Amino acid sequence: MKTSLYQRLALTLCATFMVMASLLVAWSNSLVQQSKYQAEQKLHVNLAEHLAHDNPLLQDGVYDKAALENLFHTLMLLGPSFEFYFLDTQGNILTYSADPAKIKRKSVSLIPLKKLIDKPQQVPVFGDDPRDINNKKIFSASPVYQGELLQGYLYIIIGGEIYDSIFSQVQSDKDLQKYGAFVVAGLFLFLLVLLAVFRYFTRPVRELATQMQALKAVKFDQTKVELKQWGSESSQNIDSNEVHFLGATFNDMVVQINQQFSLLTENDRIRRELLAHLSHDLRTPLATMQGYIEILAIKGDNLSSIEKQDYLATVQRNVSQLKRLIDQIFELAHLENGQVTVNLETFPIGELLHDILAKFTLKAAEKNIALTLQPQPCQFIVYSDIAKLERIMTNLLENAIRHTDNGGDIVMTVTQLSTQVKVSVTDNGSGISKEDIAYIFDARYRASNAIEDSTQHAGLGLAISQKLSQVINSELMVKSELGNGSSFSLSLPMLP
Amino acid sequence: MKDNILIIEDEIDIAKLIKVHLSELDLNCDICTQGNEALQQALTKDYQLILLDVMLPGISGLDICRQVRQEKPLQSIIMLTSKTSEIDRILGLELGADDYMTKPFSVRELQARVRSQLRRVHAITAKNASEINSLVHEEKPVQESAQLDKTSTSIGQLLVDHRFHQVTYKNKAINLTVTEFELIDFFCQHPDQVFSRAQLLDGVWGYHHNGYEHTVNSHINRLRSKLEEDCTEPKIIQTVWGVGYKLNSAGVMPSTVCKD
Repeated sequence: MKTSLYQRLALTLCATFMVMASLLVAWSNSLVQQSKYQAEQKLHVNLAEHLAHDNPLLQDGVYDKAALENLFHTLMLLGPSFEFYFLDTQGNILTYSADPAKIKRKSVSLIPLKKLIDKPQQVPVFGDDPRDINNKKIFSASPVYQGELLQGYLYIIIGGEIYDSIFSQVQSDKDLQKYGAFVVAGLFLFLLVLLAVFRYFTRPVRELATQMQALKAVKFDQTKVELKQWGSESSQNIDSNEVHFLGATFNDMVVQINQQFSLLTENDRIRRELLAHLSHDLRTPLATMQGYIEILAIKGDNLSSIEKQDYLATVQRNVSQLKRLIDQIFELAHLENGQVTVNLETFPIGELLHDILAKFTLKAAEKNIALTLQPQPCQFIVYSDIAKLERIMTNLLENAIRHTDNGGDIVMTVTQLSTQVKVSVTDNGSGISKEDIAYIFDARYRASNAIEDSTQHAGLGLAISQKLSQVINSELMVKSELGNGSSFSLSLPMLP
Repeated sequence: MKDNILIIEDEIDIAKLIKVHLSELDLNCDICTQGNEALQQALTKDYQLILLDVMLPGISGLDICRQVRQEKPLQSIIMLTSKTSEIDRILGLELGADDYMTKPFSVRELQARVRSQLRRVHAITAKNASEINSLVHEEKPVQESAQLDKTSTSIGQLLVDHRFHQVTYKNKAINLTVTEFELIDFFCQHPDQVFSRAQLLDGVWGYHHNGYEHTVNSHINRLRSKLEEDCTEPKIIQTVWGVGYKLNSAGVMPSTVCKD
């Protein structure tokens, strides 16, 4: 069934119309006929009576059938549309004016006759047609008395066979033809109007289907097909028209799919890049290790103990770098898997920050950096994940110490903002340039100002920290100016 | 008599390396590379220490650890893992590993951990030999403590029973995990003494869990939620700003009025 919605609608409509039109024609025809019969019968309702009165043959009471037939025959010549019958009191046909072969009934029912005689104004009344077993026709009837005695009935069928078919009747009637033509034309016009309206209403559906087809043909690639604007800009209009709503939704869907797809390809590209970078970063220490181990294996005893120590120390340094990098890669992968469990609990943030600070006291002292927590004591209670927070703050502090010169300052600050607590790590170190600041949370982005202590820096720290912040429903924010230090901050909820 | 060590590790290179390291300590090492086989061996033979890799073909190391613990509550187990994400489970679920190490590890680290575990095992064995215990057949009083001859410590309304690993406070039993118990026990051994987080790690966990120092914070937090009336103003395990944590003996005294 390869028909469009409009075609189906149109077909249904046409069929309905045809049925309705034929019903209407039939009904109006029968109405016309009824009124025709009514008029005819009214006109001739007294015909039988007159005949019965005026005709000596009937008044005599003596039946000369041949004479009567003759009379009927003469009458029929005058009015060819009449058929005359003389019935006895039981309704048996005694005499008639027609060809005997045509007469099918021996008797007719007297009930309609009596009805008409009693109430002549209630026309039309139909009586049995002697020429047809099943047919009924309008008639005129009159009782025939001889003196007081009921002799029988004069039964005159009006209209004879001429009006037998509706069609011939319509044909014979100009008015009816006009009327019929008018009705048919009107209906036809109405049908055309409706079809046009349907077409108008189904147009958006067709357009939507066409657009979907076109998009399907190009595998839903938005760039290759101009998306049609559905409805006006106002959303009310879209909502009130379902098709527009469908279209708009479809458009949104296509846009969404395309966005997701481009995001996927972008992610894929970033991942490939990251992989390339990382394999380079992994290969470097590995190559160093391999080289030194080979030297040790080949030369072995020919090396001085100082050389041996030196080579081995180099190998070990590279091993720890490799380990650190791999740990970070694993951590990032684990975080990106999205299967990280979060253990939220209510705890005093001050204690945790203080403990983290204590971890770095030695490191800071080596560079003569003042490392402080503000305020002291710090009584804020937050609802977060201790482990994740420890990782983030540790990363931030490591970065701060790495990028702060000897004798600098690093401050961890806790401030309350309505229902949240903001934790920041602020240093007065080298800072981040405007160009770099947008990329610092990307995996393995090393700012151009990075200090090349490559043994300790894999460039994944901030990416990991940002991911961790997202896991605990926060976001790591950064404010920095080149040469004026940086400030990283994180907001945590105080209540569950 | 040499100590017996079972090494459960599917990487034969690593297993052999561990064996080399431990041979220096004069120990007998059995190597097992199959999970199911290893479980049988761990349950049937007598080992002073089991080194158990988490990632094994067949049955997971975490499962082996759990089952061995059920059968032998006192079996000393060190878990080896290369997945940092597993450490949370080893620590968090308290599967009963006495210690864990992340691969790759250095010789020194491995030897130090093994030594400390063996010391513990020997201390407990010695203690059992000298003590008539009232416990079910081979069950032994659990865990070493600084005072091996005492079966319980009490401070004010806080009572720590070493034999049943049970803590009661204000005559109510407090339901604690193994690590929480050890932490409160450590505090009770040194009431009113202030410890930094690093010292608590050393004292309770026995070494530095590098990168997992926060477990101390988590456990203190959970202990408080089980003991304190108001966690935002702890009366028992208190913070001394700039120094660390202490068990405040005044906080557990019967006369304590909880409003300052």
